[in-house]
Amino acid sequence: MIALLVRRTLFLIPVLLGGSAIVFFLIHSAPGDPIDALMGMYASPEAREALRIKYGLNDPLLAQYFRWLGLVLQGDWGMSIQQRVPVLPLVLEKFWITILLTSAASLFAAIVGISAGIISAVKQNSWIDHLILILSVFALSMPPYWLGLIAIFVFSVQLGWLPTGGLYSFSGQMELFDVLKHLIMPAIVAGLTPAAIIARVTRAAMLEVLKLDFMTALRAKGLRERTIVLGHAFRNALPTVVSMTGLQIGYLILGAALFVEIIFSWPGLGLEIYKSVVGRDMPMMLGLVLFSTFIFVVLNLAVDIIYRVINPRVREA
Amino acid sequence: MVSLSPNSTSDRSPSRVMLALSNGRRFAKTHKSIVVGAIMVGFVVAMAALAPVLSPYSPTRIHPLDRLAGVGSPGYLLGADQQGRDILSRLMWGARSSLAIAVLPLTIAGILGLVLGSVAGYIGKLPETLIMRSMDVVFGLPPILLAIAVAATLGPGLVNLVISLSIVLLPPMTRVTFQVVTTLKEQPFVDAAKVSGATTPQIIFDQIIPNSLAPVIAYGASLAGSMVVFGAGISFIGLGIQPPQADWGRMINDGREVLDLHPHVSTLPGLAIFILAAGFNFLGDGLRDLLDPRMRM
Repeated sequence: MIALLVRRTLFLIPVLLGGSAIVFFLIHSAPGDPIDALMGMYASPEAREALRIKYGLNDPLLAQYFRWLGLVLQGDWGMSIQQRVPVLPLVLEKFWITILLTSAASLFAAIVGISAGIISAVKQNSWIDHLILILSVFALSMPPYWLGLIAIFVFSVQLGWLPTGGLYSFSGQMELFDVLKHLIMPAIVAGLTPAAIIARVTRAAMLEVLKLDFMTALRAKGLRERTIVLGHAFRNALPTVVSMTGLQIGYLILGAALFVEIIFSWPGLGLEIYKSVVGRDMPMMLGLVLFSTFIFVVLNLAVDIIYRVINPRVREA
Repeated sequence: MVSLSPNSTSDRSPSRVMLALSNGRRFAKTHKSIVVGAIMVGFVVAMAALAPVLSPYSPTRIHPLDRLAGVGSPGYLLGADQQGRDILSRLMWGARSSLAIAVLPLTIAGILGLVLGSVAGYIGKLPETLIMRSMDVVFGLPPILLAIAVAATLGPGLVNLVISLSIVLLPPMTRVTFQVVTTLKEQPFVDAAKVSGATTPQIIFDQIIPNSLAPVIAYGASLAGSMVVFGAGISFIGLGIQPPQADWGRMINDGREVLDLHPHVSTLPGLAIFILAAGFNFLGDGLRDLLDPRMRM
């Protein structure tokens, strides 16, 4: 187990190195010459060359990459062009706001997805199974940026029940109830697609278990159906469900949440990415991508380890 | 798959026609999701193909007098946007880029993934290490952000969007092919080819790739719906298809500012994305059942 943990953690190194190399290559090939941005178009060729040498832009690409990597490891992620502040502290600040949204969305997705999947599997081929399957295809096909707009139109514009967006109201301080009111719509919209995927995976995993022989044995023993389904069948389907749910949370943080944050003006990483794309703020955008890559990789590792811990069949593999 | 063969129209014997019809009906009954999906996707394809003939106006025609015309106003079946452009015409023309985004990156990544995955899976050793470990690195990156970063670097436009989505899709396609091929290469017919003197490239292209096609296509088809949503999302952010060209994702973002009073401007393009994505998802589910029974849910 320890050996596996060490091996899996060591594998992070090439992934992160490769990921950062891709990010660096993207900065490098982005349109526009940094010297133009610094000196304007009318600087003399000599002055340009001097600045190129000063910033090491004439060095081989690999040398530039390792120098950049050194700076990144020391916490110097450059300055945001638009906001004129260092990238890293801003990214860390926004990260917690995104975590708030994704935790709520994941909770919603896990509860709805797992219950729908269990019901669907237990009542296989009944009308409710078909309904859940069709609804899951709908939820999968629903663009989150569109669903968010419809939710705003219905619940904010027409009914006036919920605020249209943001993290808290301007008038009050950050009160818990106020933040919750702002959280509910984006969390449900962001959680819907993952809920559908979790439901489908849970259903498939449950069906696999339900057809095994020991289910008959449990029934013959006279156990209640409830105990059989939740205590035994679900317990055996759990590893698959957990690993899929974990993966979905990874995609959620970096996928659906991005669009949802834009629609609901939720001031997290996703909205920052949107602003940096619109404002052509390359250092900010690449800082965000680099940071998200790190989170994604660590989260996937965590999911993999949890899967092995709760699933005795692969623990030794 | 059951279909009318090309010469069946000339063959008038009633029994054959009846047989084909009943086969078709049985197919439709057992593969409902393929039929439903095909109808939805077919509808969008027809709209895209017939856009030059059927669309009432040019998708970029600006007519300020009719700005924000409602659904069903005279001359504008689905209304007009802030610049007075006909929404129906823009939806029809926009279907073209949405279809391209759904199909092209999957095809490109599918072909490359088939070749890379087959080489890695069949030969093993060094090629396997090189190909699969570098795919692991790309696979470790968050897909949506990778696509956004690549699209932002390459610059906006349909071609660059297709390139960035193909890059994101390549690792999963390669990995699926690899998994299929590792079981496939133990099959007796591969040994038979080897014994009969076929070279390694011959085996890969004549035996391995054709036999791994079905599960790889099934997997690719299951991703098409998500690609529609995802690709339109990148246009929504402003990185995909550029104005004034019509694009569904872009139209949703443009309509956001008038959502409170004129919700049709941004919700109708969203409905179009939903219909196409749901069509592809139904089709993908059905194809998976048909082509790869092992993955059946």
